[in-house]
Order: sequence, then structure tokens, then C-alpha cells
Amino acid sequence: MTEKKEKSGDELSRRDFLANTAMTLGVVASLGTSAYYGIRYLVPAKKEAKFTDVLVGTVSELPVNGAKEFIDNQGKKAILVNNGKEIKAFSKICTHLGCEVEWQAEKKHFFCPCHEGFFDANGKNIAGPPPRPLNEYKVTVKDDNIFVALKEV
Amino acid sequence: MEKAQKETGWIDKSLPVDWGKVKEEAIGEILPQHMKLWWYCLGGVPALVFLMLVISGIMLAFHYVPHPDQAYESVAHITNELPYGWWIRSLHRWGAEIMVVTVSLHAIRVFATGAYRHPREFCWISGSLLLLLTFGTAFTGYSLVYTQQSYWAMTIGTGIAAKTPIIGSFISRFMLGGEAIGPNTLNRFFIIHAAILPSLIFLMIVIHIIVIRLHGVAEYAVGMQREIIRGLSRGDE
Repeated sequence: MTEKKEKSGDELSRRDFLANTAMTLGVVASLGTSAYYGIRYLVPAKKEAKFTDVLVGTVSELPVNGAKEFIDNQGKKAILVNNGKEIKAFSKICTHLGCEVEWQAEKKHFFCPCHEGFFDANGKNIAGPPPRPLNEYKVTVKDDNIFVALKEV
Repeated sequence: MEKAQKETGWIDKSLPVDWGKVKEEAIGEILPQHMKLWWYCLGGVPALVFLMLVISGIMLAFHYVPHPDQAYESVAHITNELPYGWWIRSLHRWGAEIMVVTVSLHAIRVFATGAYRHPREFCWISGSLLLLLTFGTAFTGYSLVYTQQSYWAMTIGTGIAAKTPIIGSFISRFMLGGEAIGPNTLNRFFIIHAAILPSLIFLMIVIHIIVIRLHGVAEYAVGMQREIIRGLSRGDE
């Protein structure tokens, strides 16, 4: 592509010049874009995770062992639970295979119907196949209002 | 080495390669007429796509974590949060599909036109191995995302392997790294997908191309002549 034409002497014909230029520009443009994307991907700009407190409920609607569902900013189902001591917020997604867990107030645990997984009122996996506790959200209570820290996307 | 060479610079002296001959070998081969038809040249597509898959795969491996707790999250992180991560992953994902499809089409074409026959046995054998290696790499890669689909693909894939007579349970336990899917399994699939199979594919591609170049491109099979001439003249119009 880039080596000299030897047939027609030193003179480079207009046709060859245009063809070579177009080819070189095309190659530079495509490989250059790829290289730019690749470098941006490998050296991502520093971005701190930002959290925002979002109002999801009030203390008065959560009696002891009461629960209230909410949906986080990524559309995932989550639940507020009053375990008697404090109010906690958990993802409803089972850590085993992603089914939806259910709060059973009378037994004070979360139950996953898919493979009979159990989590206690602190989200800890206590029985069945789940490998780790439920994902938890940070909860802040101000007066009667319950705020949950959600990651900005 | 000969003295009758042209004026040579430092690079030609320290690296005495006849580049003209290399170029002649690489792109100067004279091909039979029927190679103008694209379906006779399908074998080159997977070779190029493989190169792209290796590059994008290495890029993905920079951010991928082969552990059940983080595999899915790391893929989601690549796709949704890293700049152009979606682009790298799409190249890899769609490249893999294209490779499987074109390798299969190439194999069908070679079979249908009888290009596998004597003396090209080694072409056919190395090509068949490449087909199987491609399937294996696609299967293990599919499982690395660790979605529900991946999980059940692993379950079913290792289940099929387990039904092999005599050595089945051994193969299944080797693939799973235990009796059931766990952290070992993902690690194994990752190593097989990212290190072992690509190396074997690379080796096989080299062998495949060397054998092809030793024999030259296959002539088309007897009885195909008329179709090919018709196809060529249609293409020239």
C-alpha cells in the first residue's frame, strides 16, 4: 500500500496517488478510532461512585416485622424491613440464582421459593443454596422519613 | 546474502529478509478462476475474525473476573459503565457468532465440492479440529457471562459430556472441577476459553494454512464445472 510504484519510474500517477491517499485515510480513520476506543476502555477516567439519598417510606408505616417494597433507580425490586431494632433495606434478588425472595413476617425470615433458600432478618443466608447475604442498601432515618442511599448511574 | 543486491540500508543488513519474496509468497499466489466466487473463499473470514476476537478478548480480560460472585457484575460493569466497553464486548460477542457461522459454512462448502479428497487429508483433518475447537471456545465463552442461560448451558453441556461411555464422569468432573457447578467451574471455563483453546486454534490455523499453501488451492470437483462457469460469467456482467 505504502511502497513506491516502480513500474512507471519515479512519477506517481494521479490515480495511484488518490487511491493510496484514500486507502491510507480510511485505514488511519478506522484503526485510529479503534485505538481511541481501546485506550479509553483500558484507562477509564476516574469516576467516584456517587450515592443519593432517596425517600422510600416512613417509619409509621413499618411496625415491628413489617415490610415495604420499593423499586430502586435501576428498576430492581427491593424491600424495607423493620427487624425490631432498626430498619434495613435489602435487594429482593436472591444471591443464588436471582429469583425474588419473599419476606415472611411471622417467621421473621426471607424465603426464596426457587430452591428453598432462607435469609434471616439481617439478610444473612441461613439455609439452602444461597452463597452470600442479600445485597443491602444504606438506610438513613430522619424524623419519620426513611431514606435509602442509591448509586447514581 | 548475494552480493548482487541493491544499495542496502542498516535495517536490510541487520535483518536480511528478502521482502519482495515475502510479499510474493503472502499475496502473489496465482489462483484458479473459481476463487473469484466468494463462497470458495469463506475460510479467510474466520481467520480474520479470530484475530479480532483475540484482541477484543484480551481487552475484555482486563476487566473480567472469573468468580461466581463477580462474573456477572464485571460483565455488566464492562457493558454499562466502562467507556466503550459495550463496543469491545459487542465485537467479541458478534465476532464469535460470525466465526461459528463462517467456519461451518466453509466446512459445508469444502464437503459439498469434494475439496477434502486426497491429497488434502491434512487440510480436512486440521479443519475439522478447527471446527470442533471453535464450538468448544464458543460454548465456554457463553458460560463466562454467568447469566441464567450460562448456568444452564454449563449444566447441560457437562451433562451431555457425562453421558460419554466409560470416561463420561471423568470428563464431567474435569470440566466442573468437582461434582457440581462452583467457583472451580468458572475458573476452569475461563482458562480453557482464554488460554488453552485459542492457542490450539492458532496452532491449527498455522498448520491449516501451511498445508493449503503446500498443495495450492483445490481444483473444483468434477461435474461442478458448468455451474462455476455460469456463476463466473454472471458475476462478470
